[in-house]
Amino acid sequence: MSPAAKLATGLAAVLVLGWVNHGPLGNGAHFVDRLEAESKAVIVSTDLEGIDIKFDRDPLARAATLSGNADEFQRYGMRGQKGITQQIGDVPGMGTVRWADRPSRALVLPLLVETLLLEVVAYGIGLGFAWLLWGRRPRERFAP
Amino acid sequence: MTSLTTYNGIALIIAGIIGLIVGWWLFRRALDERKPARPGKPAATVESAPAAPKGEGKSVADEDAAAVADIAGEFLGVDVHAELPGASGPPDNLQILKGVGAKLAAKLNDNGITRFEQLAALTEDQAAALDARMEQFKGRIGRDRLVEQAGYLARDDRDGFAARFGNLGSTS
Repeated sequence: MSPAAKLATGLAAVLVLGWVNHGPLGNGAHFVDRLEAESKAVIVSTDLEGIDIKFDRDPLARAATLSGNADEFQRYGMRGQKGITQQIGDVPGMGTVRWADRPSRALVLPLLVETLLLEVVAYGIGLGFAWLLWGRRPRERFAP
Repeated sequence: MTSLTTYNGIALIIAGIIGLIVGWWLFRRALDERKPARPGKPAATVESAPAAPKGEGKSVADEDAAAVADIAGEFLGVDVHAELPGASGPPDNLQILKGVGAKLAAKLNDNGITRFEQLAALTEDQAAALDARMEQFKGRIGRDRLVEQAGYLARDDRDGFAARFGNLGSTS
């Protein structure tokens, strides 16, 4: 088998692993569910009524969309004080936070793509270690 | 991103292990291909296999006998392992080996090494024993890979030698 075929075989295995982890095993949905639950807890802690939050589910993404009546100060804060947008953005693992009535052009990657990218990076790190262990040419030295 | 990494931790570890395995698959093969099949020891042939062993054998009894002979030799001050394979025949110019000059060649000659075939046939133990007797040249046999170099020249594989160690000098 050629080196490229070996690399491709490993890459395919890693991509399948990432997809199974994200989809059939349900880790992608669990991750977004956790983000949603923590974000809702943040909203409750702000005492603002009528604020709702939804996450992109088709496809799954770490992108939250807020809706409801809130003024600029409540939304974005002022000086050192954080608004609800920043507070939700601080939830660990959160990606983009936007408001339904304010169109945003921020790039939102599907969670599956992010997961697969991470898997590819981990695969690359494994390959790098393998190169360090077995790939380097032995040094050849001769006396003058 | 940190949280996403943590959430996919197990899958990422498995991906890393897959990378390690694929890397081993890729590089280990390449490493084996780079490594000559112990050129110091010519591959055993059907013709050479049944030849009656001269000197020490490899059995436990032979090794015990050799150990006793070594110790006895030390007390008596004689070199009981002087018989080296391939010692017969015209001497080779050892100075064409990379890293071997006139003094080192003379020292090898003093220790009974006059031919590439002798150097090439040295086992690791024999090479270590010879090295121990090389005085100011101690360590050169291993560092300059003389056994490996001699392996190519004993087989008259000059192209292989040149590819591995560079062109032979004009003294050849």
